[in-house]
Amino acid sequence: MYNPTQLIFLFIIIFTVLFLLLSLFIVFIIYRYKQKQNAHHQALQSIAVAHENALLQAQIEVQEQTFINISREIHDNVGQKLALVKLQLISVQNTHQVELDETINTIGNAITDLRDISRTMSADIILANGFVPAIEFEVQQLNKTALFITSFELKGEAVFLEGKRELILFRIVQEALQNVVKHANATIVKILVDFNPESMLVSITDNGQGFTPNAYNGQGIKNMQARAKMIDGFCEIWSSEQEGTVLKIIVPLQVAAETEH
Amino acid sequence: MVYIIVQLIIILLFVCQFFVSIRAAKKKNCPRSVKYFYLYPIVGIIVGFFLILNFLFHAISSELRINILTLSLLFHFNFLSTILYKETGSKPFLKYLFIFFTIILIRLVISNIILKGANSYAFANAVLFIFSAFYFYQLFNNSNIVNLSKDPLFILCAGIFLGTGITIPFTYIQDYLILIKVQENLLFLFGAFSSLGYLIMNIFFLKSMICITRHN
Repeated sequence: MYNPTQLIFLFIIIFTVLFLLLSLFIVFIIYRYKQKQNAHHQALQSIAVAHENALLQAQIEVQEQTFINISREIHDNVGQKLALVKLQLISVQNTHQVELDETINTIGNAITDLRDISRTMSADIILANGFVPAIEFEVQQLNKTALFITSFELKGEAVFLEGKRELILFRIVQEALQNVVKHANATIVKILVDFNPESMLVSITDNGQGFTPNAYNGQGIKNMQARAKMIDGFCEIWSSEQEGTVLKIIVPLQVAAETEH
Repeated sequence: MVYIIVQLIIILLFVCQFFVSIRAAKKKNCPRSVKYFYLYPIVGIIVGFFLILNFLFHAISSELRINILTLSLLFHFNFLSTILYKETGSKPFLKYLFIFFTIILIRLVISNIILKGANSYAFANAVLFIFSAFYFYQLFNNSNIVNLSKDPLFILCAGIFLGTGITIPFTYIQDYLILIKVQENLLFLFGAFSSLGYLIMNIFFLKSMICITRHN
């Protein structure tokens, strides 16, 4: 009545189909759970990034406030006192003409230097005039030292970034230039600001002693990179011993471009 | 012969499970719900030997065989259901559902002794199948994220899901085969197929216990 071979085949087929269906269901569960896991992982990562950004933001705000305080102190207090000393020296100029002329000149230079430092530290220059004039001012300052031949090149049509982004970008450039002054032993510094339709590039090239980026452990570069990341950009450094350094910062314009310069 | 081989493999799996679950119970990370898991293979081994003896010598009376199978079924059902109940979040409605199912199962088991049907076995498997499916549902509602391939409880529930899912339809087919009075050797061959689901389930249980012992 029942063919045993047929029945055995039937058992095998039923077993295989059931096993495959149930296994597929478990695979599907694992797949969906993996998706949940990835979403959870991404959420954790974005929380970590947001936390990091908040910390950096706080750090930048504290630094800016310190700069403002020092700048105000130099301008209002030290600068005023030096100006007063200069006036007093002018009033006694008749008796020791030559010596006093030299002293008055030195104090005058000191006052100018302090004003420049105050201006550099203050965020007013960048907030009032924008990124390009602020960089031009920095170039002037470097040229005044007579230690470097500094050139500045502007390509494309300059656009204003949102205030905070411009300030952060400017502080990165300042830090890079300070590194050139302190560590590079360079004689030539080239700054290029290139505005493209979608992004802007800031490149700082020097002919100094260079360094091996992989062997560098300091916080400076990490700081610059973290700040660049904060304004949706990135910062890259190419350098090798005795062959100078090239630092490039690329920042997208789409998000923050507000008005044409 | 196939039936004997399958039963021996299952007994071997139970022996391995017993030793691994003893080791797992000593681990600090062992979940409380599977702390006494080593009791499960003990009952499994006893039942496995009874089944082989019954096949070889027809030495056990059919009443005794049914009683042993019934008791082991009740034990396994309660044991695995308790694990699943705890793993599905010990929700009050699950507790009532569990009590309700146990009462129905006892009722079915009692009538089974008289009727010799497969209802209770299929019912127990169906309840375990539902519980394990609920565990998967819970998995997505839980905020904790675990590595599924190394999570002993997921492997345990996947084993129950696969094993019971295969066993349910086979139990009814077996009942039908008895009804149409197929040859006994064919019935045992079918029994071997039916036991494959059980075998797969126990492979998963073993893997689950190994996961606990390997976890630091």
